[in-house]
Amino acid sequence: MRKFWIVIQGIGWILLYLFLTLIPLFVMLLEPRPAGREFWRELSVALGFAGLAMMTLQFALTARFKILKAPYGSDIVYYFHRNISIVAFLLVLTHPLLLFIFDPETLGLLNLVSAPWRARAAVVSLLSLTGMVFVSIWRKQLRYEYNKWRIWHGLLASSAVTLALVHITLVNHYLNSPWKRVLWGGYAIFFLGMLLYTRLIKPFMLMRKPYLVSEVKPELGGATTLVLEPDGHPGFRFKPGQFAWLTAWGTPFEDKEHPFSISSSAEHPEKISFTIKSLGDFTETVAKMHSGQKVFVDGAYGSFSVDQHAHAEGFVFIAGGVGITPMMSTLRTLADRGETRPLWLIYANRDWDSLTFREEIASLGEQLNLSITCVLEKPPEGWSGESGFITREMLERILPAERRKNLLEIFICGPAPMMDAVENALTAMGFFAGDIHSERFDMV
Amino acid sequence: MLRRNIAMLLIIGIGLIILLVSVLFALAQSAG
Repeated sequence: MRKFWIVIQGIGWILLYLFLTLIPLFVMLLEPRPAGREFWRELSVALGFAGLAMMTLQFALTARFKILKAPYGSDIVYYFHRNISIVAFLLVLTHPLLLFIFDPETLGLLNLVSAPWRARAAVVSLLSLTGMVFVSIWRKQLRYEYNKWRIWHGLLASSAVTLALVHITLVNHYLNSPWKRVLWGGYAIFFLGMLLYTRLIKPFMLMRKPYLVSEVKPELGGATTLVLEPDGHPGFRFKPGQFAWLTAWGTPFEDKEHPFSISSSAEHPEKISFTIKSLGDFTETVAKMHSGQKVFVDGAYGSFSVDQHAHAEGFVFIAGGVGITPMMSTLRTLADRGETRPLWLIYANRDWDSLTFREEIASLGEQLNLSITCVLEKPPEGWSGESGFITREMLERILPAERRKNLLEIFICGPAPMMDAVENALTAMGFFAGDIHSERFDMV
Repeated sequence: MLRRNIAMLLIIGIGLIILLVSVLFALAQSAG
């Protein structure tokens, strides 16, 4: 029954999104309606209005409302945010392009010195949007630091929407009646409300619930485990495999948070841990943290959890490198719960000494009905286990031959090329795509 | 994987619906 309501909720959000994107076009047709103009000019205007409505909705997608994420999972909401922004960008870009093509005189509006304010606002808005979209798509290739990008992303997005709202107000062609002004006033209030919530209210709420670092443990493979305890509050409950946003070396108001999988057992929410591999920028500073340090945690998010699939007859976990962290949370939780269903762990890493949690995994193997396979890219001399990369042949050898929908739920977390290869291999082997779940580090 | 593929289809679908409604809007508005 709960699943049914989640599906209904999922469809409801999509319909609401479409409604909020398209309602400005229907309202614009209400009387008093401005005199009709050429088709291409009206099309240009329609695309601009729909694009602007989508731009304002983008702020809600990343505001981390649990009710919005519940039907899809955080990764999908971010995936949607990222890709629908390209659609919105193309719509908004087409708006002036159509004008330039069919009415070349409008090209003169690009001259910011002589152009009226309505055009200046539009040009700067579009430049902000273009800059934001390009930097977001190619952030990694440009080696642009995540924190700096987040700050610029917020500033450029706010500038693009604010100036676009100024543009439609100054043009005033379709805002010629109180109802139309109320509608766009609503979008402006919604946009400001989202900014207020994400930049002030949410950080303030996080500030009131700090955590203290109780332990900083070095792990194999260049990783560090941070153990955190809630300071003066009960903390939050989470599902195994979920992640949270961690702010250290600053306050939540500074927008310096990073997403990490929780690695501890969900049966012990009074003490949560993150295991973080040093990969540059923020992650390098984790080993320098100390006991008693105040940090802030916003969680828990994500649908990469065995708890979402209670019906499964067994679980398969395929991890690459530090992708072991959500699997550790899951295995520790299942051990605490006395799980008896069959489990498989396939853990790929560079070499024997990079296998984070090596000893604890072996011990979990004795507590659980768990088959463990370590795959080493550079195995030590005399290694009799699997080596190289995870291949279809290897998976055929390790996993049971029976293929049936909802029989096994498979969880994959690791570097993107490994995940792509494993997903393709599993699908080719006949596993049902809906039973394969991936957690990608690159969601933001 | 399946969820991502569905999400991509949804994004394309939403884009096409918006385009279609925009064309209908432009037709309605330019005709009248």
